[in-house]
Amino acid sequence: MPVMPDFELLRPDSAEAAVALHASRPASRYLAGGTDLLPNLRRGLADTATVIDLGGIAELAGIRVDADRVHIGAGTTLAALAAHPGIAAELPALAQAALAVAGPTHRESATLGGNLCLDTRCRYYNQSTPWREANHYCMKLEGDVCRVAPKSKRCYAAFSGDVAPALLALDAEVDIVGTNGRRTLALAEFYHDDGMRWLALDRGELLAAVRVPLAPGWSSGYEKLRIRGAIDFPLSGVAVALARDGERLAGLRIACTGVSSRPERIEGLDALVGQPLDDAALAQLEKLVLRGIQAMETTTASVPYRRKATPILARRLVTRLWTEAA
Amino acid sequence: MQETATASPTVKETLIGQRVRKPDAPDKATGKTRYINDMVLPQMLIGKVLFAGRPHARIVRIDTGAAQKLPGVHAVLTGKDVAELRFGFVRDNVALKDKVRCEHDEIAAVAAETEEIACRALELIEVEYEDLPGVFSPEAGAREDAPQIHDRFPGNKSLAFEFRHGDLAAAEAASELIVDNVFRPHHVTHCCMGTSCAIADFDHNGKLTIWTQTQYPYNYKMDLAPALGIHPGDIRVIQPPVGGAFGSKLDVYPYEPIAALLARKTGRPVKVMYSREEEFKASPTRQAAIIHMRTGCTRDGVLTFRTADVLLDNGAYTSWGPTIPVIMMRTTSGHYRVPVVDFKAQAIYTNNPYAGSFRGYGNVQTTWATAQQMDMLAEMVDIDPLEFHLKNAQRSGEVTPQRSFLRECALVECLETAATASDYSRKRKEYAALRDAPGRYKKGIGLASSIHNAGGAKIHKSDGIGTILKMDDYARVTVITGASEIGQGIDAVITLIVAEELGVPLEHVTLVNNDSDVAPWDVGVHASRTTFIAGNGTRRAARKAKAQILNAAAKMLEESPEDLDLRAGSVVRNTDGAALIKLERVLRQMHFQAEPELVMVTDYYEPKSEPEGAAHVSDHSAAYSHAVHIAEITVDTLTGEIKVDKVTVAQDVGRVINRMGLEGQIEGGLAIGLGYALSEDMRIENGMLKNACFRDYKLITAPEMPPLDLHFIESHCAEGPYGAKGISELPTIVIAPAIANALYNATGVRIFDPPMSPEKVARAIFERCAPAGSGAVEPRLAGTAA
Ligand SMILES: Cc1cc2nc3c(=O)[nH]c(=O)nc-3n(C[C@H](O)[C@H](O)[C@H](O)COP(=O)(O)OP(=O)(O)OC[C@H]3O[C@@H](n4cnc5c(N)ncnc54)[C@H](O)[C@@H]3O)c2cc1C
Ligand code: SF4
Repeated sequence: MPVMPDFELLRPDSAEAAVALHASRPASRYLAGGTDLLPNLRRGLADTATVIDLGGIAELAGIRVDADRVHIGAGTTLAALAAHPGIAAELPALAQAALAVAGPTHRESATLGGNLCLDTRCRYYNQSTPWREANHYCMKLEGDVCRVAPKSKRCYAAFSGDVAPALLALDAEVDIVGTNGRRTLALAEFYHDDGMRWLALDRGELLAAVRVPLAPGWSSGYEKLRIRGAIDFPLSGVAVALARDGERLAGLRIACTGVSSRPERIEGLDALVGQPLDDAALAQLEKLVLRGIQAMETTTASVPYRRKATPILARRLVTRLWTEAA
Repeated sequence: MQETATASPTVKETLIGQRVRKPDAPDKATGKTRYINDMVLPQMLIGKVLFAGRPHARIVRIDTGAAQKLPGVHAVLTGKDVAELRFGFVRDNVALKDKVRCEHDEIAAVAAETEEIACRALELIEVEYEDLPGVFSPEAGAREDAPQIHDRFPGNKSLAFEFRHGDLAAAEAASELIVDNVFRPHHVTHCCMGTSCAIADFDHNGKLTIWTQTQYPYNYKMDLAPALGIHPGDIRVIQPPVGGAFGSKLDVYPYEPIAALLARKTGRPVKVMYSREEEFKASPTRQAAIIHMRTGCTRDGVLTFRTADVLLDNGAYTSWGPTIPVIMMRTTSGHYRVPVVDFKAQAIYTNNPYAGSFRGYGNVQTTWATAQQMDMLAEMVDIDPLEFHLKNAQRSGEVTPQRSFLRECALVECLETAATASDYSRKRKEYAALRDAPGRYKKGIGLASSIHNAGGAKIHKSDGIGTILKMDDYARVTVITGASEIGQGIDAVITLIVAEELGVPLEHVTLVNNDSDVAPWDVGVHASRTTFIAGNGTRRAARKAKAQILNAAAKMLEESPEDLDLRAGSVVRNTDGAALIKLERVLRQMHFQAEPELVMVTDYYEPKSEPEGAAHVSDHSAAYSHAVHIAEITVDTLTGEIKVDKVTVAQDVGRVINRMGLEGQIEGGLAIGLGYALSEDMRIENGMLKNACFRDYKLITAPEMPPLDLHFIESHCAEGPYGAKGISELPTIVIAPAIANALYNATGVRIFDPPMSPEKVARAIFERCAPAGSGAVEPRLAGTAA
């Protein structure tokens, strides 16, 4: 349906009230900036009777820089995130990733929380109802078969948020509010590798804030592969946090987006720590990145290309950060 | 000692070549403009179309009962209601179909109180289809056992074109070097920011008023009438401001008769407006083609022949797309001195979306091939491509094999200007030498050029325009002209010309050009013709008015009209520029004197071009022009990303009229060409468009626009207004092969099927660099020495 379906709109003023409203209404959704949710509603991707606008919750706003960590409310806009001088200086990967999302007007309303909770994406899913009907639907919604991997029991729709890999590389954690109270998770545990159930949020749970440790001596960055320079989801995105000690690598974390159903922390990089970053190490790094991703035919760019390009992107970024840290 | 010269008042300041703002710019920039998409008429209903959503099928049964009964629904129409109302270039189309021939075939249409109700009604229509095997490429359609798409067109054969000149066998024998390649220009679409929209209303005398985005209002009536079974004279066309057209509104497309059929059925105005997804699926495409081109030359780099064997993917119906060979053959035969030519083209029906006209009209596809082959031949001859181009370039006064008379030809000047400005020859050598050196990022520079009609194209019986010019008692001027404004800036040009001729301020000129019941005939906005044709028409009308005014003023002032002129709102004396009387006073006196007269003149201008004709040997345009683009790029050889660092443009514009409009047209044309070259691509799989949205259809955005270095070459066209030529298609035509040649210069790879996406480029570079025996494909540069 090209037209916006009818729904009830609520605007609670606390996280607890939001959670309670969510629990009391069956088909309800949280609305932050709406830049993902609203197009999806228009396309008939979400059966929604109630929309709960998080914009009135004071707790979700604001960035606070403490001695050893940065606290970012989930309602912070990506424009504010990218423009924050402390974040640009201390956590460049985060600022770069926020700036890589969509276009300037989107970033004015798009939030960090919405970006981290972004629905997974697939060329067979992010389409209108008539399109999906004409293409016989798929497992993620209304169909039985996955069009990308017809024999698969699971959906491979890709997580394509730009900011999550930066936060993974920066070792962030998230604060969650639910009907049973509050809890904290490492961001890596916030995601499942499943295109249909990619968030570790229980029904009605709300993402309240993100906390990022400040790590002196580390540098970071974000690189994104896309066809055009703006308003383009990542074909692949790579975030790197790196520490250098003279001619040796003192620490390395890499995370990717757009190439699996969750943002992927690349495993096995510890083997490179303590070594010089020579050609052999870079080749090893490329292998580890390739092993850690699972690109599927979810975008119009092909799988071989995204598989080939992701390690190359990682190498480009790691080399740059390594050189700059000298 | 001579006295120091002061600015002489006898030298008239001219507006020609100045930067003049489009009159509608403030309204557009502030959001005040009411586009057709914004329009709401009293009592208006919303029309929605049910698309087939499958490429080829028989319609077994349609049940509209439930939809008819839905409260708020006023009409439901299907193919049964329009069975014999065929329209289109070869009468192969109908507003609502009785058989499915492509994904976006219109099966039923609903008019309802609101869009929501109309959408719900569409969901209630039950259609049973029997799917048929489809044809998804022209090669497949041409096979003997191919499924038939139209009963009336056996073998799926649509239009065919042919042009031959000279002795091919002899020319081939005389050729020491020949390049032979197959190019596959792809499907792209216009992406107008305003989606397709029409509002139709019938009065009780059976007269239709249609508000539409058309760019050819007069022939439009003739084309729309058969789809409704009415007389063309009973149609009034009103053109509100539009959000782009670029050729996509140069034909009648089914949503327009659908709006009219629904309006007739309901007796109420009906608006049909596409969503972005519908726009992607249902608006015309650029014609996709398979071009087998061969070009030969001698060892010293003199062209000997060019052949093109073209297969066009007609799509399901015939609009303007398959007629592009008319222009393709002009470039094939007439770009550079090509003594022997063999051109043939055949369009084959397929179950793909169908093509219409699109800025560049066939020349985008042809130049993609010719300009790359020029580059390849230069390399084989082993001379600088610039020199190779110069050696074969025509000069003023030459005539092409199709009899295009290049009266003022500035090709050499364009080549030299662009090459000098960009330091082309030095950079090309330097980058080629670094091609196989270590390093991930490679720089490249590439040159391409083309020719295009620049004074209309007489493919209809007439290429003329009617103009009415009137002045009121306050010296305000109204120009009533057939020239349509679709964003290209004819409003600014006409205003400028009137101000130039009549010495009135730009703001005192009003344009009326959007109502077929008011404005006189014009063939439409196409073929880079409007500034040329309407500019001439306006100037002629303004000069008639001026003569009338000066005659009257001369009588009042007891002067001779030859000694008078109009400047800055007054009648002035030619010799010293002295203002003698206010223009508005003259006009009032003329109006109120004993023998009253009003200034209201008419003009009909028909350019001195020859009709295209079946043999295609005619001087079909009143002028021709050339452009040279030089692209400088950086390639990431690992990811295949191309960054365009700079584009140098040298274009023969005849004479600059409105400098700002000219710059805007070149920038905008380049943006379309860059998208074509690098990222835009309709992904059509088995007739189904997979990327019907801006997320996956990669229209370029502001960050991809490179810095431009524009050079306007003024060749002073004898036929053009003040010497101007038409300019607006060449910028779209030339850029893609310039980038392709730069890519070759940087990396040694050639891409034959646009777009040059990172993926394709990375693969091509990988294959070129892969070690021998690894199964890597050889670069397809095929040279044969005789
Ligand atoms: C044209 C276009 C281009 C885009 N390009 C990009 C891109 O390049 N990169 C990219 O990463 N994204 C892109 N996006 C997606 C989107 O704009 C961003 O990801 C944005 O950050 C989403 O944030 P939002 O606040 O608008 O989310 P919303 O749309 O408000 O919400 C998104 C989802 O998260 C849920 N949600 C939101 N906040 C919370 C919370 N606090 N707790 C629990 N659930 C919550 C919502 O219920 C919804 O399901 C693009 C979108 C568009 C329309
Ligand atoms: S991966 Fe498969 S199931 Fe998931 S959205 Fe794509 S086609 Fe559907």
